[in-house]
Amino acid sequence: MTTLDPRTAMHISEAAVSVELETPDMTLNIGPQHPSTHGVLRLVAKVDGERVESVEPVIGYMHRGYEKLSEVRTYAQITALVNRIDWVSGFANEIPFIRAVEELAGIEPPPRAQYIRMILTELARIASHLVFMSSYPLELGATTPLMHSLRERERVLELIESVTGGRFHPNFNRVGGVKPVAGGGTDQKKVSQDLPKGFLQETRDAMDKVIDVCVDIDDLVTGNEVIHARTVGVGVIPADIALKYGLSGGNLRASGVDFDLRKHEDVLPYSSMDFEVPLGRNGDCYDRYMVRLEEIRQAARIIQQAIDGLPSGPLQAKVPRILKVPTGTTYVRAENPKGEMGYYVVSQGGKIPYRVKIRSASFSNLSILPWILEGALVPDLVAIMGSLDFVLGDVDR
Amino acid sequence: MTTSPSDPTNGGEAVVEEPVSGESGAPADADNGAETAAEPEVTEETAPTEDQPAEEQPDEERAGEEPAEEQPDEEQPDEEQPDEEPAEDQPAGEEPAEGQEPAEEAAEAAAEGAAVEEAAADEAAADEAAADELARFAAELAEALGATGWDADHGTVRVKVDRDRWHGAVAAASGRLPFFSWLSAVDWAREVAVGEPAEGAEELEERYEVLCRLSSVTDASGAIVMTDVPKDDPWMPSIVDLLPGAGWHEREAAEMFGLDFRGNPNKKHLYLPDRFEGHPLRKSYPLLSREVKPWPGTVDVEGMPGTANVEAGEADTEGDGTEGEDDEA
Repeated sequence: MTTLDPRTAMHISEAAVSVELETPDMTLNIGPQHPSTHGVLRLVAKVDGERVESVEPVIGYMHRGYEKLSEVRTYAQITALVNRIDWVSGFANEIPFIRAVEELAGIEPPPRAQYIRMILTELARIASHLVFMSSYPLELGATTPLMHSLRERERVLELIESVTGGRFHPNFNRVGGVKPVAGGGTDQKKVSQDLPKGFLQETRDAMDKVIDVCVDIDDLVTGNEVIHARTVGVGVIPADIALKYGLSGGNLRASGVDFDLRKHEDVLPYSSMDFEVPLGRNGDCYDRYMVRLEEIRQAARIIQQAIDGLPSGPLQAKVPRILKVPTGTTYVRAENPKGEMGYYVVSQGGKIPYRVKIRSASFSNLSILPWILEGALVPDLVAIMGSLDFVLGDVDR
Repeated sequence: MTTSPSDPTNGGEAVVEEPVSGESGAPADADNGAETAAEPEVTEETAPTEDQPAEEQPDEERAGEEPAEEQPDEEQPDEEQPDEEPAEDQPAGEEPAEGQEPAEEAAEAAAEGAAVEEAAADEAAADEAAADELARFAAELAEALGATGWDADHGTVRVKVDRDRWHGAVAAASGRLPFFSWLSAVDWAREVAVGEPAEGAEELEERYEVLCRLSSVTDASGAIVMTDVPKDDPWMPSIVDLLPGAGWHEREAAEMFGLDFRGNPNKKHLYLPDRFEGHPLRKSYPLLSREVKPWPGTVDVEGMPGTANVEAGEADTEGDGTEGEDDEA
């Protein structure tokens, strides 16, 4: 083989593009054990050369049957289950369920409990988005942001742990309020057994650090040429398609739809918070990334305001020892870090629900994969999939 | 002994009803099981029970319950209020009348009570207005969809259509409410293999209820379009052509409830293994883990229905040992 003259080499490569190569259809199986599938997702892709012709996602490897299990558990026990749906933001999963039960039972949690719930939900949102900020650039080949994001995420998880006792599965909400610290005896004692000492100050400090890390990520990722090349204009989801597939959360807002349940639903006292809902313009992978980055900042803002405005008072409303929820049906949804998370609860007056339908965000967010991957390039497959920010536990329930 | 509504000494049942009645919409109904048996059944003629004083008798039966639902709210805060403020163990409410300084305390309590009542009234009025608004929205949507019934309880609008009209109704509704949220089903069965049976299960009309939730993206409004599917003929028109996102939801409902969504191009199992038999979310489908091994929770403090220790108390918010002792004292 002769040495390649650079000019000839260029010539050859140009020739290779212009020649019609025969690229017979090939089935490419990705997963279920694959690092970029965030769990156990299997994709059966039909590819024609570098083009994806069609993709069939195969899910259910993590199906745990929570809807069936909910039919044999008391309301208090279901809280422990719903934690595990989207384990990256366990706390946020509890909120709509607990609020649905409270709605049916006619129990209004005290304001302090609501604020604590809000602070922890936003902490969970930050933790979840920081996972995205670490995993997404990683999938695109950038390893450094992972170090920065996970460091701050650890800080946030420690805060959640200091209040709830659990890093991932807090199981902290109770119907009518939040869990008093273990060992509390009478009502009086329980009121004093509240947030751990120094929590508010630590959270404030942590939020400053979180905002700092956003700047780091900005520097490392946002303007990065490689990231631009991989994400800008890739995996574009128009708003009308997003709505028809039930996309929610950052994925929907990246397509320019101003839909944030924190602004619409009163499950938590967000109406007294001042924050913005970041929107994307093009609905591509880059916008989905940018929206989430900005949401971290906004979540930090909400937490700081919530700490400032944290009311005093009890953590628990009066709730009967044996909670029977009167006959009724409701659907309550809230803004999970991944999107709309809701529970359709049918009570028949007993201690356990007759039916619980879990609407999880990632399930709908993922269902757009066949549409969005059709005609995409194989190297973009991972970039597009990662940008949807799903968790398989949230898909399979 | 007198029991104030939220007095924990009262134990289980009686207490339960109280906070409940605030929102349930039918304070007395809970005891009248039979009448309310068909609560979730929207179309059925569930006329208000005898003990409801007012003859609201709405043409759409749910609408009438809205005002009734909010009224107990007004009382609630001022029942609870004396309960929280004064000393812990006194049965509140009785105290000012029989206490040492009735006049002063009563006056104070009255003043406070009035203020609270006023605030509560405002709140109740706002709630009522919101409920009215919701009911109006539901009625209007029902009319537009050619629905056979609707309700707007607990902030959830549900509009019921016939199965034949399902496709058209969802199309019309999604014109107003463009965001597709979810589609699923409920199995209304007389006999259940797991869990508790429905209220008044003996007289229940056995059916599957298919629900499709749509919502607006500019405000909080949203609605559930629903229809009944007879058990002996369990098929549904698919809405995948309208809302492609419904495809997975329909596949899930199909495998879990054994419904046939005609028109859905993909009828493969979604979650379940290909050769899985049965439809797990049907009420007749047993929960195998429970069959093999009894619920370990039976030895726990939290009594499960149908087990021996139902009365052992429940680890709700205050579920610890000391609390129980306090209650007895």
